[in-house]
Amino acid sequence: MNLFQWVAIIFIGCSLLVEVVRAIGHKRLSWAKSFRITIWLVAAISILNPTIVTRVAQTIGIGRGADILIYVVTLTFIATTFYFYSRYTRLQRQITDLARYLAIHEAKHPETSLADSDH
Amino acid sequence: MPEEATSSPNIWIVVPAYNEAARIGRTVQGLVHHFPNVVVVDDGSRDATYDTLKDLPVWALRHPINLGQGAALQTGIDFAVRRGADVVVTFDADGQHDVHDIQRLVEPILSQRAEVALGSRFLGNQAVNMPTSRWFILKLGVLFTRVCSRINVTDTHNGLRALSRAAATKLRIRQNRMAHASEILDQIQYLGLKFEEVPVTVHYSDAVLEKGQQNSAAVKVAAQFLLGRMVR
Repeated sequence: MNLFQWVAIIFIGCSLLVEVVRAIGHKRLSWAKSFRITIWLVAAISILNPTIVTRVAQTIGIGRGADILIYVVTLTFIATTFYFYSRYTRLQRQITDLARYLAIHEAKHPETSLADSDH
Repeated sequence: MPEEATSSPNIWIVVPAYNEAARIGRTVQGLVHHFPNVVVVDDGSRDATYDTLKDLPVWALRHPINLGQGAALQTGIDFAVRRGADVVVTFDADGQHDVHDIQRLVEPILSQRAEVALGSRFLGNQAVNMPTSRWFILKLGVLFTRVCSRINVTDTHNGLRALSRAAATKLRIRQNRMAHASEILDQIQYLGLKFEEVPVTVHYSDAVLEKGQQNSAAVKVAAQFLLGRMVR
């Protein structure tokens, strides 16, 4: 193993350990946790044996292992960007609803305000 | 005092305002002489817009933060509907519209020919001092709307429009910023609302051109509209 493989495997091992310890602590394995653990395991296998990625790439007709990584990262980036844009839009709508509620409930008519202050 | 009786029809004018302290007084005074129910929505202005409203016989609403003209319009429309409006008219704060156009604008709604009346500066060439570049951008907007929303109108970004109570209740503006104009047309088509275009005058003064939307914002508005359609 080269230096990069050592560093990456130590990092992935620590991350996997944290996920597993948390799952044991909560006594349940959610879909999100299972997905994260799977991603870490696939990353570890790919780093330890890069020829597997190349074989997978050739099997699905892409060619080089590096190309499959570029495609996966690009698609993940697009999906993540849209996910956060959706979250941002929904949050903005909630803030708008709140601001609207305050504006309507604190509406003022000067003539009414003056009449109230006279009493 | 208002010249017209407050009995039927109950017409409410909604004026969204952002940093309009210098002009809102003149705009609103022109309106209240003809219409008793005027609601101004101060969209989190940083100047004295809201303080200026205290001296005027209008309903004053204030967003605690700046959200955009679309959000301010929806707030004003919601408020007007709650207060029993039969017709809601949207009117820009910068003085580019003519108060005398409102009666002609609401006529199709009062005579029940339409549920929405849209002001158009291009019916009868009633855009005063409009720069050529602005004419070109607005025409591109018309083309964009025909392609994206499949609605045939001559003016897509005119702030002067009238809604029946039913239409005002059905329409929901979710585009907070300037893309709301395209969104309103999109919803008119989607909801199958009957609409009619009415010739109105738009005055382009130096102040209107300076503070108003820049031509370069057109691409941003189109992108906001398309992205907004993707998030429900």
